[in-house]
Amino acid sequence: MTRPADPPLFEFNDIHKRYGRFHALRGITLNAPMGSIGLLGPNGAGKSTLLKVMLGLLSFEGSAQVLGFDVNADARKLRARVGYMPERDCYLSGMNAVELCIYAAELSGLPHPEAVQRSHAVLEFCGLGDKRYQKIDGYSTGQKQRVKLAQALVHDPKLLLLDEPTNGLDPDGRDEMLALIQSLPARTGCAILLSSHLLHDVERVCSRAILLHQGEVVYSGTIEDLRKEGQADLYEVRVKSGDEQLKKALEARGCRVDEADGMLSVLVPASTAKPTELIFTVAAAEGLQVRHLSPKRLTLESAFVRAVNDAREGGAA
Amino acid sequence: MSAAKAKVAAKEPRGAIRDQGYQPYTGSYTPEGGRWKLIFGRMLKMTARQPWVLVMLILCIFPGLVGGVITYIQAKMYAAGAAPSPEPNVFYLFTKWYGTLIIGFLTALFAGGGAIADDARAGAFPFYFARPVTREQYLVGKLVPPILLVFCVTVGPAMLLAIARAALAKDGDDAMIALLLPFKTIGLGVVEALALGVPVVALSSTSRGRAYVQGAFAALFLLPWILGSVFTGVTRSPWPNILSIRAHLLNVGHFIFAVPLEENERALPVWVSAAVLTALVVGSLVLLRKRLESMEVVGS
Amino acid sequence: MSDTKKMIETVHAARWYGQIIAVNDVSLEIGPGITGLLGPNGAGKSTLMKLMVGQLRPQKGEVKILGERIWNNRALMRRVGYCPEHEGSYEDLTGLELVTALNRLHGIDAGESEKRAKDMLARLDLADAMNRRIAEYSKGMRQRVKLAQAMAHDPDVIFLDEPLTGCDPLARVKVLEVVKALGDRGACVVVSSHVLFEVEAITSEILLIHKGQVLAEGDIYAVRDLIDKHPHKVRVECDRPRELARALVDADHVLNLGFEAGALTVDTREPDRCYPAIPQAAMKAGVTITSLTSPDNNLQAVFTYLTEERDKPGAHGAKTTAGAA
Repeated sequence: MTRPADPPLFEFNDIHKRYGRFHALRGITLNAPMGSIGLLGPNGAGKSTLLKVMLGLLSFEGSAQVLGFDVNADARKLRARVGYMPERDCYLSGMNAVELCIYAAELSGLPHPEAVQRSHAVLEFCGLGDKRYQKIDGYSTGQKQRVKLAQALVHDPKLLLLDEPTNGLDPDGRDEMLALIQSLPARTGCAILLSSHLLHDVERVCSRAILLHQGEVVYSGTIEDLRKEGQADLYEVRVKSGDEQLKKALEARGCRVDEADGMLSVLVPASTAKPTELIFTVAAAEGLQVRHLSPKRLTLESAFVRAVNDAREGGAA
Repeated sequence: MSAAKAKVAAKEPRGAIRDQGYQPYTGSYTPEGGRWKLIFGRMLKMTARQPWVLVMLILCIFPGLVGGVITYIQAKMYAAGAAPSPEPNVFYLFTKWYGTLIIGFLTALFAGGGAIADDARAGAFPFYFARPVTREQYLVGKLVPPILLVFCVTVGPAMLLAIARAALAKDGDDAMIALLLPFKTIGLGVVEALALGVPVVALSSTSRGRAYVQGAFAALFLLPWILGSVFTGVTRSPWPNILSIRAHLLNVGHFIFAVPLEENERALPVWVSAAVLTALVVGSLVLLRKRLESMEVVGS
Repeated sequence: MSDTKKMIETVHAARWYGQIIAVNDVSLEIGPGITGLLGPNGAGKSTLMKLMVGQLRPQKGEVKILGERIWNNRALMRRVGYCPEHEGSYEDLTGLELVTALNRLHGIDAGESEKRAKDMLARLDLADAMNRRIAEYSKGMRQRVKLAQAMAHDPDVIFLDEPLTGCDPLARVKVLEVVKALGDRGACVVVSSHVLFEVEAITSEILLIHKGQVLAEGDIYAVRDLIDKHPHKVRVECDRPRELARALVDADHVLNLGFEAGALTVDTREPDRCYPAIPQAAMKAGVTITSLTSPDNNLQAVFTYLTEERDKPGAHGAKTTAGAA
């Protein structure tokens, strides 16, 4: 779904925010294209503050533009184009899902008949069937999360802010919610900013990431780049059984083998022409079954920890 | 003929599957200024669903009916010169314990107690303020339903009485006096609705628990009334009543309806009562504004 | 099975609430090391954990820790640590005070209590915050205080219910370190979590609960192999997928071949024959494999496959058994 000349998703220029003496945001300068972006950072890094800035709810120094709107001057117009799915419970007691979505749509500026139509369409999209006519007070966690997503989508936002969308869901619920979120950009053409501690979720849904630490941007770019180990000949291997045996055999052939994350981390000698073949051959010779072999990339979690530690050391220096 | 048939035969079969899912929104948007009406309308609808509203509306009829009968009888007797004017009846309906004051208080308690507390508990602030809704629109939308309901519940019966009284006037002069009653009714009704409706909503913004808010409001209204009455009786000075909302409403009512004080009634000067009530309403609004500013929209 | 397996043991334990049965005739044994306790919402995990911790009494059967019944057994409870899911609230104490106090309740003397509390809090990265009031803590910090009190008195058996909620990735790394260390030392650690990849990161022994009964137990991969209904998927990234497909298509253990950009997917019901055959075929055909992965040989897949099967009417009785890895 292409729209003519998409403006950049947001542009921040040297944003500072102070709460008394606490310097929450220190010179944030960011530029991001439309797409799915993860917003990551330890607790207290400034994620919530940045989200508030993006919603036009805070005064700050510097300039910020989201979806082409100036955040200070056009805050209300901006909020009509942004959907927010908060982390904690968000509903009005005594209403059912349909009423909530209609109310939400009307508050965002849709006339009543359109609000009714869209509410039903969006609730269908989010997978709430007949349950939508019952009061939200009685919903399970998974259903409440779906309603939260629906109320964020009902006014067709161009940008969706998601705050821990899989909170409290059991594994199947998490899977379904993530699949739903993954399908959004193609279906609706909206951009997504996902703030979550569950880096697996972020990896699944987003292609880019912004990493904040103590009010500063530590990384802004693709997740692919963030995860690059930097070492070309490192491979992760898992065998059905016989880890120790394989380790010894590979070391005998000149590899360096460590154990990490339940798998073997193998560094083949630099001169090896076909590293994967080497590993397979050694395993076959020992009668071991290779169940997993791939170039080692950092998990997003390790990359995150590394980036933050680098920033800490950089700051301390 | 055969050419047409051939054409029909040669046509390819056609079919289409329609896209059922999510569609982008390309319609118009409503003007921003009117959003408070949405909030007001929704809050009124939701409050009206609660059973106690019906109870209050029904209850308020009884004092009205009883008062109506008494007024009728008294008016007839007044016309015959056998009894004093039933003017004060409307005033009494507003302020005596057997009138609509308690009903008005209870209405404010139920309508206003949860107004903001329920939203705080269910996390409705992100719902409202991550949208193009200003704090002012939200405030107006939340304040008007309790104030309106208290107004209806107190002024409704009183208005019926006032009109009945005017209709039963014995002659032209009497009618002129009686015709002022509806306006006086509305006047005191507005004061009472504000004095009860605004503080309860302000209290509602200070806690997440509707029960706490209602308890606090009850204490605010009833305790000074009880203690004030006791101490006024004992000390024979009107000043212990300084914190009693009811006493101030009574005072202002005396003034509006030009009903003289009873024998042993001690009252503060009217301007003191007016000042206290104004301070109450204004102070509540300031508190509300401050509390709303501090409500978190993002974050856990 | 030797005696070391029986650090936790339940024998036909059952617990119901009125008409609802939360734990239905559960017999299991858990040994030292880390075991993941998993299940959908409402499956009976929390009830089972409360039975094992001694907070609830089994209405039928027995629940034993270290060979003795845990119910009402104060001395035994001292050797058990429990980090519950819900938040307690002792807002006015500092983190250090709370953990020290709870240590003492577990029977450790005053000086030692404080020392162990300090030690554990420092390991969980709360060294700076331990002297501040809990009211000022963030969600992740409160979580870590809860964990500290569960582990500080050096218990032999530890139950952790959703230990990582609210933790940012840095805190998570610390917590996982501490939990792994406990497991390595020979304690029996039971971790219950919805976030499956977190469980995968620390253990491959699991216990899957569904509708009040044990659905599967043991090594994740062994259990996966036992799920006949869903063939193994193998994804092979290589330079010439169709060439590789040609080499594999005659093999009778190959159920299905699929093509993606730059990769070949192979479905098989006989993983033990298929996995070695793929690199062999590749080398013969001169195809270079860049990666070989099993997209559904993980905990999420096991979970989904097992629970979806159970929800269908007419599902079979217990088919899965603890297989050797």
